Amino acid sequence: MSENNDRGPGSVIDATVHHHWASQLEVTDHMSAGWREQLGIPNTLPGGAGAMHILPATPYRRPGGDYLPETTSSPTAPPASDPEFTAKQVFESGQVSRAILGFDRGMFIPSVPNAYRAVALARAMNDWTIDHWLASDDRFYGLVMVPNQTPLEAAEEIRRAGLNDRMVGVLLAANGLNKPFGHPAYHPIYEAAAEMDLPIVFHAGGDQSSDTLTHPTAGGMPSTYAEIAALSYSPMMTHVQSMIVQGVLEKYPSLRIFVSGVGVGWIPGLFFRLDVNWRGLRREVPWVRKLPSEYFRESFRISSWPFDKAPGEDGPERVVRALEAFGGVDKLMCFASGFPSWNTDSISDIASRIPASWHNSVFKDNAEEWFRWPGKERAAVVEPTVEVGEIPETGELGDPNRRTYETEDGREVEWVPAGD
Amino acid sequence: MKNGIDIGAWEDFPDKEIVRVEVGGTVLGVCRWGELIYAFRNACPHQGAPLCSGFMQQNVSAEMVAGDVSMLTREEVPVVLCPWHRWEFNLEDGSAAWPGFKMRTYRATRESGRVLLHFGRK
Amino acid sequence: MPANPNTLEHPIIDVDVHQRWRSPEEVVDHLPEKWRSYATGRTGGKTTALMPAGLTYPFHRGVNKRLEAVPEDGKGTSFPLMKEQYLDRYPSVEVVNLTFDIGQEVAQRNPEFSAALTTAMNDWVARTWLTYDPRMRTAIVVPTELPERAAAEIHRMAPNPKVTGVLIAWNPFGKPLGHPVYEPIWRAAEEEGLPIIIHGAAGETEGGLAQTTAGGLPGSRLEWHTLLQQPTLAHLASFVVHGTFEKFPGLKVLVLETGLAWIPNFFWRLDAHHQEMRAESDWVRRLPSEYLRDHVKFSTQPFELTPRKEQLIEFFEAFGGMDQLLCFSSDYPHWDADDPFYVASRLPKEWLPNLFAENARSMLRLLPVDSEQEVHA
Ligand code: FES
Repeated sequence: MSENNDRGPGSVIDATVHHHWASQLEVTDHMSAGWREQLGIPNTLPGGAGAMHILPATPYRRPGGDYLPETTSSPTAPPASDPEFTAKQVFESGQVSRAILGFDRGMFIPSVPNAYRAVALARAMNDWTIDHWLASDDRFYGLVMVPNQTPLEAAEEIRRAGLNDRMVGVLLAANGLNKPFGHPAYHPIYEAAAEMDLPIVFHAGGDQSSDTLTHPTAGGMPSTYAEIAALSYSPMMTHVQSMIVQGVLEKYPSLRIFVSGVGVGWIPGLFFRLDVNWRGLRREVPWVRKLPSEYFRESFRISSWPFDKAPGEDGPERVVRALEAFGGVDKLMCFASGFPSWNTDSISDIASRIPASWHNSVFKDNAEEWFRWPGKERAAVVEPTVEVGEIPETGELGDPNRRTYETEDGREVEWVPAGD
Repeated sequence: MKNGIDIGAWEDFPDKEIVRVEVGGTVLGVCRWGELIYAFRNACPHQGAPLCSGFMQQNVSAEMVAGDVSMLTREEVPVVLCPWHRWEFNLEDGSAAWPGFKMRTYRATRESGRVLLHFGRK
Repeated sequence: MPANPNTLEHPIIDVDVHQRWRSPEEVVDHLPEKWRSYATGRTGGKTTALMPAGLTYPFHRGVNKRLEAVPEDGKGTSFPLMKEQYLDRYPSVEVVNLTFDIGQEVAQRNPEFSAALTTAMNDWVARTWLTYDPRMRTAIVVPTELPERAAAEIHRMAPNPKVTGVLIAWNPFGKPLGHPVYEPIWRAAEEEGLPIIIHGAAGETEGGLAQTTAGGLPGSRLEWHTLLQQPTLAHLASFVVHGTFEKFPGLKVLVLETGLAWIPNFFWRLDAHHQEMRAESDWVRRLPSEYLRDHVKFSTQPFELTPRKEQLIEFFEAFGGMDQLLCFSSDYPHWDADDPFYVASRLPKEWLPNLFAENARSMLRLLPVDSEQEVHA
């Protein structure tokens, strides 16, 4: 696509890097003595035992491994668990000026069934990020991890950890309450995020843990990682749509959302369909006052990673043409490497796949505008101008509305099917 | 305001009902909303559905009125809902809930107890 | 808007048109005595007995039909109305493929009753709607929870030349359809030359373990309807991973009522994970999209809308065109049905012959029938 793929020094913001701990003690050391005792210490019993494992299990793993090779400083440490080594790799090219750390499998901790432990772990993970990572390199920025199965505690944590100037957003990954994220139960989280002027970050994979009742795919659980990975955008469509249709953006008009880990190719298909359906079904959700894609363009930004690929030599061009049919995503997309994931995207590869005219906004300007960087004054909360959830009297009047019908067998129909 | 086509007596148009009227080969929906009377072409701008089989409702919008945040229905701006995909069109000017589509409307007036229809630009 | 008949010169094979009994008796009368009293004796009576306990996404005032297609008495659907509003309006219709009122009644939690009911429904359509007009053809329903019984029902109905395919209206095991548990059904369908028809997913709206959307149940019909394609994503991906098309090379799959704008991204995503698929399955020998292009087609409805019509065409052309993949469907008389003239006006002219007839001919089993003869199963 573009001729010049060289981004100048410091001209790129990397919106998603996954950081992890070398030992869970790094995290649990930030907890109270009681929790430290309860969770225990690895390697104090035979075979490495001695602690409760804090990470939930991962039901689907990629054949050949989940990470890029050689992303660890020692052979026994998990990828991207050493701040200095990771900084070297992430900033090596000199092009990246800032990188946002978004946890690795740690992001799925809030769905663990023990709600109190989830709260305590989320706090510890935030403090660990600040002490261990943000302190080690001033080009790293953090996201506030929230225990979303207890939304009030999550809101409290946003107000606490979000005070740190280098925390530039709020991470919502694991689906702790088994509902699409627009569900009213989650709203206290959005209220706090809007108040702190922090964007909410959704990350792929949150419906995949064994601890959540939601499924990573509709239609049943797949057998392979390949299916899960190929369809990882489908739960995200559900969440994005839910935020818009359930009125979150009417209730918190200044809320900003960032979506990471699912690419951008799903966007046209969703909104070509949702916009047209809204015209006919809008009375069900009358607080949705605008075309859904309008909310999307105003309140969402999307990570480029993992950037969509079409087969064939002209694949990259065809992906861009499809996005341009939607009106382009240059104002919506932010570069993210996804490091150290197996499908990490490089700056030069993405630069070569998208039009040169998109470069400045995708590599820097969009992320600059979206996240709350240090020194940026926190914007004031914008008050809603509509009561979400209120249903007005619409005056269903006149023929054929008053036509009365008998039911098929003379009884009231107990069940009206959804099918069409 | 003369030269309209006489399409019937005021009483022929019951309140809040859509009446199908044929004028020179064109089928129109004509409906009364209290003291107001509206006319529109019987073809939805989306896929051409017979709008006369649809129904009327009040316009609904959501906004802040005098400092009060609430949903608003507006009696004075009725809409017709299409019998197919249930899109809605403002009877006043034919506008849809979001720009991009417009129902063709005609001007109807009441003149000494008769309803007159005026073709041409509204 | 094009409202005149005769303006579309292509023959139309409409792969998705719905019919419902005027009264539940019509179907109940086809049940054996035991199930007849079971169906009528339970609280709620025969109407509710024939409805599955599906998810609660009711439509606007409980009518999911075009308003003018609701009969005067409000009961079921009516052939005279269909004739006036559909057959007479579109004289180039060559085949009407009936798909029940999506066949959701199959989703009974009692599989024995489901089996009896599918037999009754298939006999009912053969004795009623298939005799109303020579253009009528039908998909049959099968009790998917009893795969061997489903296979037997396919073999029972297959001799009827007006049967075009097998409607999969219920996903009882909560597994994507490539799962081997369903294979007896695919084998029987392949043997009889009948395609599998998935209508707005495989009954995930009827409750059960498989969810209608990934990421949790949405809070409105607007959201549910918009994401109706999601279960289909998992079903098609699993056909590839489980080698369904390697095991049953003659099997065809027709996907109905899920729209089409999701297709390009879906094909690309599967191909982008080809390497992982090969590592996790013994069956993936070709690019996933190649299997789909050889075995699967999609109905056009509900047709997506872009602000400018060129946007949708450009979107599909970036994908390499959709003329080989699409079969026209109206979905009459449902509320979100599409008008064929409208669909024709929104797509490149060159695509239309394939889209309105030829693709469907390669999918549905369309046997010659003596139009004078009434067919009884
Ligand atoms: S034809 Fe009227 S809304 Fe579609």
